Amino acid sequence: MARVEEKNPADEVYWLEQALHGDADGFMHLIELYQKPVYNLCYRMLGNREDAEDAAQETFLRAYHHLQKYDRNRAFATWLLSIAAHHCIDQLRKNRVHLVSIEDLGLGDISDPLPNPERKVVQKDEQQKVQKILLQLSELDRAAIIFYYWYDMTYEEISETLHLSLSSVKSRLHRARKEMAIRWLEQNPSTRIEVGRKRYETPVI
Amino acid sequence: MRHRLFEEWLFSQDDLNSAQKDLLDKHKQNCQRCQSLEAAWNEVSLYMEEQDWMAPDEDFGQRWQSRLKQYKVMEQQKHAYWAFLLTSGGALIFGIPFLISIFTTSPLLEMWSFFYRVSSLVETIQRWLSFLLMIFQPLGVLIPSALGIGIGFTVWGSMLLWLILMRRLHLIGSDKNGRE
Repeated sequence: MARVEEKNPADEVYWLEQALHGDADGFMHLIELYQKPVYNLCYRMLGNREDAEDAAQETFLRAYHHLQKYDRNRAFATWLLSIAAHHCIDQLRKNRVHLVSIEDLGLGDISDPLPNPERKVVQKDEQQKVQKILLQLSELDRAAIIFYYWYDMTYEEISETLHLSLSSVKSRLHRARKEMAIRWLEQNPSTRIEVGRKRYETPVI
Repeated sequence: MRHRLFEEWLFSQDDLNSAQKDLLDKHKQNCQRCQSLEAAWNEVSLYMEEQDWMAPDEDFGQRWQSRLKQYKVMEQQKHAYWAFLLTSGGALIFGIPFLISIFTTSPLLEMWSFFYRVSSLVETIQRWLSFLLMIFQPLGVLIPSALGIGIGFTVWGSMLLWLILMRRLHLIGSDKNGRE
């Protein structure tokens, strides 16, 4: 979980200890530390900002109420993300038919190091497509993909977080990759022709 | 070997041994479908890795704190509601026979006469006591006196608790209104 561990572990341990001793400020610091990973997970799972905000808030509320049940042998981030993932899965199962607005898929926060407007438009468009495809996966497959590609989790960490067996994680990832590739191919039939050329390059005339 | 197997291998290349990888590479050279799928997956995974993390709007923590407060008030209201329901239920169980006995034994004329009303009330209380005695006498045989006293205290205690809870909720409500 490279991206999550960018936080200072000493801070986490200190504030976690404070929170476990009933200090509300300690928990507020944990929220500051983990709001982004939790929110990002909720956003990738649910597909819009409003639901993501609600799910992230609920995640921290549940964590606060069950803090005494937290097993110190586990990474706090994994425990927290596990709560978030299960809450999102529950929400998705409650609202099977969930409409995702195109505006919500706008991914307004995408930063672009190169000031190339053409590239920016293409990149945004392609990333919207990827997010749409992601939202078409089943809840658990989606969670597995998000943990693997956004949170750099290992199979073991995903299995611990989603309460799945190792083989189930592998088969879900395998199925999700295949499904995403097939859907991508359906939307971009020219993919194979463009192999070998950089994605933002203009086609060679 | 069949194409389907290679298509499966394509998406779990980490789990393949070197011989399997060689076979897959050979197959890919001649299979357009596998080439397309691999290229598609490479594109998807690249776009996924490039996507930035979404961050919540500012003051997420403050919004969480107000949500927590709201949640606590809701929990208190829920507890008070249950306490109210239980004590009201208990009061109804004991109160309904009492009220019925008052209104069924008093003639209309007696209602206008103070003395008659007093005598009626006394009579009613007597009947009520005998009614209670009738209920609790057999229970007294079954329930030991210590337990009976315990039950009595519990009933009074829960009524007291209800009153305290209602008072606290009233104070919280008036405090909140005052702040607003």
